[in-house]
Amino acid sequence: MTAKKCMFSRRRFLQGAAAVGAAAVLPCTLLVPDKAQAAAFSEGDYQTFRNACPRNCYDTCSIKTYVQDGVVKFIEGASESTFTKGGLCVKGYAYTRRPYSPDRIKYPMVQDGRRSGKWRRVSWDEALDMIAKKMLKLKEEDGSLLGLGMTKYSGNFGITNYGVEGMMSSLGYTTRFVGTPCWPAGIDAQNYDMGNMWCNDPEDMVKARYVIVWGANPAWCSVHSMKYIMEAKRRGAKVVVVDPVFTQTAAKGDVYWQPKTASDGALALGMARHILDKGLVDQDFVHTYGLGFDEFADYLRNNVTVEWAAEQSGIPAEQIMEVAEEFATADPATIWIGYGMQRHTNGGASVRSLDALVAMTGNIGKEGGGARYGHLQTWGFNYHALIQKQPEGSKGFMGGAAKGEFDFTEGSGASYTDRTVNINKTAQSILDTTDPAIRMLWVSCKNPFGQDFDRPKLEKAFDKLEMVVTVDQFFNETVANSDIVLPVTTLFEEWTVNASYWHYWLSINEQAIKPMFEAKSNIEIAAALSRKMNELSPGSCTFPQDIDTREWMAKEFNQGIYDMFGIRDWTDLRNGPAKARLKSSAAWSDKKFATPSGRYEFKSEQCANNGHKALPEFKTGRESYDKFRLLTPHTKFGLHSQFVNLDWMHEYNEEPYIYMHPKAAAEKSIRDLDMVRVFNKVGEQKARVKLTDNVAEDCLLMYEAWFGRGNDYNVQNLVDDESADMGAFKAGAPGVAIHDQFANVERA
Amino acid sequence: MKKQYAFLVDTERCIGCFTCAMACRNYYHQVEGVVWRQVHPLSEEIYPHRERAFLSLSCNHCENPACLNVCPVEAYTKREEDGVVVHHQEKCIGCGNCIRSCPYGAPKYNPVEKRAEKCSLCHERLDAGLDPACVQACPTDALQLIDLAEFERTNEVQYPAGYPRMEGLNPSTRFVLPKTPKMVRR
Amino acid sequence: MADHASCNRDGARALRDFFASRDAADLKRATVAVAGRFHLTIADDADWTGAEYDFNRLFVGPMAVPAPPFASAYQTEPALMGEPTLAVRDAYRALGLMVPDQGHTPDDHLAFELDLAAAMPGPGEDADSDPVVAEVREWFLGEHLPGWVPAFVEAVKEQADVSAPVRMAVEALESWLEAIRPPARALDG
Repeated sequence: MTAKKCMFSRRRFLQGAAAVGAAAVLPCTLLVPDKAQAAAFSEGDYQTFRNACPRNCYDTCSIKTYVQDGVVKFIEGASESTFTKGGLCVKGYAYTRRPYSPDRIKYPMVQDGRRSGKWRRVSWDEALDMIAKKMLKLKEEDGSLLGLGMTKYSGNFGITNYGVEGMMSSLGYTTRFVGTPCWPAGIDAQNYDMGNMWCNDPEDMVKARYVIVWGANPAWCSVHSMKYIMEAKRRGAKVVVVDPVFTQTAAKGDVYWQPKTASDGALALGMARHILDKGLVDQDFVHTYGLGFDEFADYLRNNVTVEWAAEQSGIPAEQIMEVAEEFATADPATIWIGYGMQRHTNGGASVRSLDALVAMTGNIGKEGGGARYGHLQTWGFNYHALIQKQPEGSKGFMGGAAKGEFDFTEGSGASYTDRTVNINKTAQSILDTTDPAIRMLWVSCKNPFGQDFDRPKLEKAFDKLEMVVTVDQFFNETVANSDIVLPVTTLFEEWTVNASYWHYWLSINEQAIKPMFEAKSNIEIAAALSRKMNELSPGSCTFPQDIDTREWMAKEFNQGIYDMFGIRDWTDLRNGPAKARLKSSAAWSDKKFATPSGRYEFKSEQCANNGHKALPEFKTGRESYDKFRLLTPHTKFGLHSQFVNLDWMHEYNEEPYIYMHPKAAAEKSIRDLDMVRVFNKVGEQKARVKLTDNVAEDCLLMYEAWFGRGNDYNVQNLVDDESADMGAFKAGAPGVAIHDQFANVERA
Repeated sequence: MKKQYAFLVDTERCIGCFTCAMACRNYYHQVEGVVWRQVHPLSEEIYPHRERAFLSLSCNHCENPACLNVCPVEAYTKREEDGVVVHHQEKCIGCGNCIRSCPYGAPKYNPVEKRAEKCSLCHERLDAGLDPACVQACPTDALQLIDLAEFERTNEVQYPAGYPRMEGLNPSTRFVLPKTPKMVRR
Repeated sequence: MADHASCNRDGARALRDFFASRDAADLKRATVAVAGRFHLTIADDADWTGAEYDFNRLFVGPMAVPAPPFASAYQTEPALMGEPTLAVRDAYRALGLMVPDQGHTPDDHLAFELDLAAAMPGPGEDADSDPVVAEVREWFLGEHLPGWVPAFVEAVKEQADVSAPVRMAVEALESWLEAIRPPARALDG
């Protein structure tokens, strides 16, 4: 017999068919007569649904959801996907906690006095009335809606959630926070080198004979990819992990390199110089498919030596030479270029060096090879939710708008556009923008107070805003700094479709349960807002007022998607996720690059024209301005501020820590688990310390996350908004040097 | 040898991601504070890098289980067909004997039910031809289900460093020990 | 006996309306009714807007709420839509009832449960001949409500600076809970 924790056991009053008691004239006002159906439940039956995790992780898991009595009971990974392979991750398995957490935001609410904690419940109608009236006032006073800003990013990547941008367009020309804190420098670098960011199918890593994981930590951030690296290793590949921190991934490799942070470009160039000297360059590739290799070779001979690279990075020369030779002679060899590695002032330049290493050894376009970063090959949706028309007569910005990396729209040719500001300088943008100022902010799929940099500056910036509307599932710091909060659906409560920027699978996301309380999906909110806007001022919003999320999901599909995935119709995905039919698992297998020359550009004029160097030259990193380098990478227990707040997660992750080297700690009389204060020019943060030589002596490590109930831990109190070198070319704005931060520490 | 289902815990493949722990919680919804599968970091004496190697532990489904032996109401049975040690919570009187007697801490006290509970190897899933929730979930196949009667042993151990050596109980879990990479520090 | 039962039902209705309040106006109306029913006092010039903020802080959100008014939050695990929710859904069904828009709001919200208590025929009333109703009543009043409402009341009492209307309603809820215990239970002690 099973333990009582069996799903089915519960009190039953009825045996068999429903009884109809004295229902007719019972004196109640809330409960209503039962619809007199036959007994709804038969033991052991679940309804199953297909869902997909939309949290913008590499793995974008395909999920199978088990529902009983209209309640999600448990979920598992879809077994049809060879990538997901039946399992999720520690965060995914906590999903059943999210729709049913008593802490969930249930109703639209208004805060009387920002940050006062005094919240009133209002109806959707009242909330939208307040919002619409403010928007109309902005339009009247400013002559446009440029005073309305939208900040949105990766909180929910179900494709129909582009309806938020669509909603903004349907209102008029607005101010958009574009760019991405995530990967823009690397995107630009890969675009300069190859004409697109396009990685191999990660499932082909099993064929690699040499794998360098450089500045990425898949053991924490892409757990499903680890099995491919492990299989490659089992087949005899050598795995080298390069990271300033001894990560979990590093513990699984054959060799671990701990270079000085931001010296990756120098290290790669040192390897390149050695490969050149040893005559191990793939001559056929560089001369048939490459452009400017000879100039690159000259640059190496005149500016780079292995000894210099050793000095810059701290990795001994013999090591550099050994790995370089092994990498160049292995066939195929591959580098997984991590996003952490390019979050530096020289990040883009470093990625170009790593790309060059892969290219000069002839590993681009090979199955099992490649310079792996990401791809957008499977994102060819219609973007029906995204593409909405501004109302007639809308006025906007006249200077041209930047486009984000996920913006697949064509230019409209109109003279007015949205006004764009850098999402990586949210606080500064709000403070500086004028004519008109950003007066109102719409926040969705994002937690600016958790993710945007220089938290103290962000508080000041928010003081300037007249109205802040946040759409979210849980109370976080951004909600605390808002005037109105709107409850949004979880993945189980809406229809949408999901693709990945890493693997090549496509998943449908079915609505498995009714939205709890009064939650609405982003497009339902847009429709409701449109109804209210048009009620107050006919023609002020073009977003359709009656929508069905299932229909809108279906509208995202086109023949291109069907052909790519070999499906007849989106309904095929209800049987499980589908994988793109690739002519080769390798990107660039035909070696026809999308650069101006059609070749791999070691020398890129475009790159020079955009203010960088034509060749992948070395670029020095940011100067230190404090005693320790501060690194704030991702924790395995959360996806930014999502999941870490759940009580289930607290069982395994009780509190945040600061990680410090024992020697550095001894110098400051800091012992293990002492309370310490990390501080710098931006602000400060207290937490307990764990001593470990996983971090270097001159480094402090803190995981970026928000811990929920009662804990105000926030690394953005220490991180400024210094830009990365690249990102403006293809991602809308420069990236941010998240790992070029410095701080000091003392006992608290 | 009779069929004996067991967990194979490969700490070299294990990346300490806690997916197994949360998969169990997702399926059974244990109350707060009650954890059937926990992922324990190895101490630095055993593995030289802090929080980089882990033992994922639930119940060992011992040959001669302490819990079963001390239970006054026969709330434990060891299945004939596959050696799974099942706890029958409805018979349990919450006396705490099993909790006190198991050297591996497998039975936990449920303060809401006021009874014990523990991993029962998802036997209702096994009987339906499915893997235990934790085994299915593991992204690196670090946690596997084996049958000791058929298992071809290579380098697995029964008592990794730090694990109580209880030969009388004969725990069925088997472990693969973790490796360390070559370290090149600046 | 009948008077006692109908008194309990009136009390249940008044409390139901309190915990179903959406804003200060609802709260004022409901508090006055509860005060009347349970012979408790409430100041004429109570701060109703302050009470509204307080009510939301304790029971609604948007922050994490220290006293969620749902049976599930106190029984098997602090979640919504747990076993107690479905058990009480069965109880509603036994009396031919359901929550409106089932699936959106958990069935075990205190207001719904109080509504059931108000709807239920008492012992000795004409529906007593239906054994299902008697069983539901026995379970609902004797086991289910006492199984979580005291913990809910405790959770409120543990909070600092609870507004007067909420304190009063919770006090009324406590005494109502005492009053509704079926006699058989009282003998078991």
